[in-house]
Amino acid sequence: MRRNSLYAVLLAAALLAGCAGPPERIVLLPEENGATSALVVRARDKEVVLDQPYTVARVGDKRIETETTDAAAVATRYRDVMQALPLRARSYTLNFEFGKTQLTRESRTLLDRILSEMQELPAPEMIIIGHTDAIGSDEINDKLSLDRANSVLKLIQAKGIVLRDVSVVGRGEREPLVPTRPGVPEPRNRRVEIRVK
Amino acid sequence: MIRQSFAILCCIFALPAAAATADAGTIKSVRGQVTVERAGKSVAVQVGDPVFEGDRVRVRGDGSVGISLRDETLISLGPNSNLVIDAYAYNPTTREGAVETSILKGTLRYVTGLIGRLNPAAIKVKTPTATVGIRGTDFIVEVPDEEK
Repeated sequence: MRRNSLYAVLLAAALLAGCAGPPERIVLLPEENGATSALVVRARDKEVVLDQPYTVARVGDKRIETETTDAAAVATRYRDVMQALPLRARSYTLNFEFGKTQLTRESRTLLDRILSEMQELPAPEMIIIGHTDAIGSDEINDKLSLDRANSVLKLIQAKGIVLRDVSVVGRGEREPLVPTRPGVPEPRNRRVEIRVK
Repeated sequence: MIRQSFAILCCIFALPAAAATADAGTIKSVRGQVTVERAGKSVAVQVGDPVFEGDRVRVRGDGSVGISLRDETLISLGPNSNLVIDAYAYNPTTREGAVETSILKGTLRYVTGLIGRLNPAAIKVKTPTATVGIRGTDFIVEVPDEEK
């Protein structure tokens, strides 16, 4: 008896699913830098891998079908989301005079350019990220990199500029520009990255 | 290595007080009528407003919205769309975290950010019938309105 009622519920669910309208569509777009990418689309017990740009998975009530589209068709059908996507973050690197907390002349000029370009963005955000080389413990480098990022924030504030949305991050030695073994000094890795979005 | 990152993720989720105060991202563009439902209230949003974990973002009629999440995940919604930010956690120092969203209706474009670059498995996108797993990616999801 219990078993019968369970089947009834399952059947009702299946009928509801059968009434579904047009299929959902999932479209893989190309990466900006030409890198390969892929999506795995799962629905119930079915699974489809999209690994070529402009492949479409059409998820219907019984199966997942694939088809191919192209840039022109995507630009037309999905005009709104293509236009509304925020700009990708831009990344800039600031370098310091060797062994000092003072920026190089080039980096001071760059900083001024970043600050003026930011004014053209909607709701601009700045993320100041400090980096270290691989000398010292993670704990020390996390703090050192954060200090380095904060020193750039102070520089900006000293110019009398108030940023509405700014954050400082210390990435320690996690993201070297020039990979080295632990304990190797590398001045090029002692830097501050500014990401603007 | 996997075990280690799992332990760090647990730490992130074990600090709900810290996570609740941090926003998940910022509204970067608004066209037409766009609202966010948060804690039972629906408010119209403007460029510069924050979004939070748990928010439901709605585009009514022929509008659109662009959102940049803190890890640089980029999202845009087209006309008649309904998206829920189910979960958002991000540690900017380690770049670990999780992004879970559901598109219930309409059109979504999604460009994965820094969390996905490190760990694609931390990105989940759901539709009413499917889940999308990600391997470093820019894509579109379209969910037709069944009421039409």
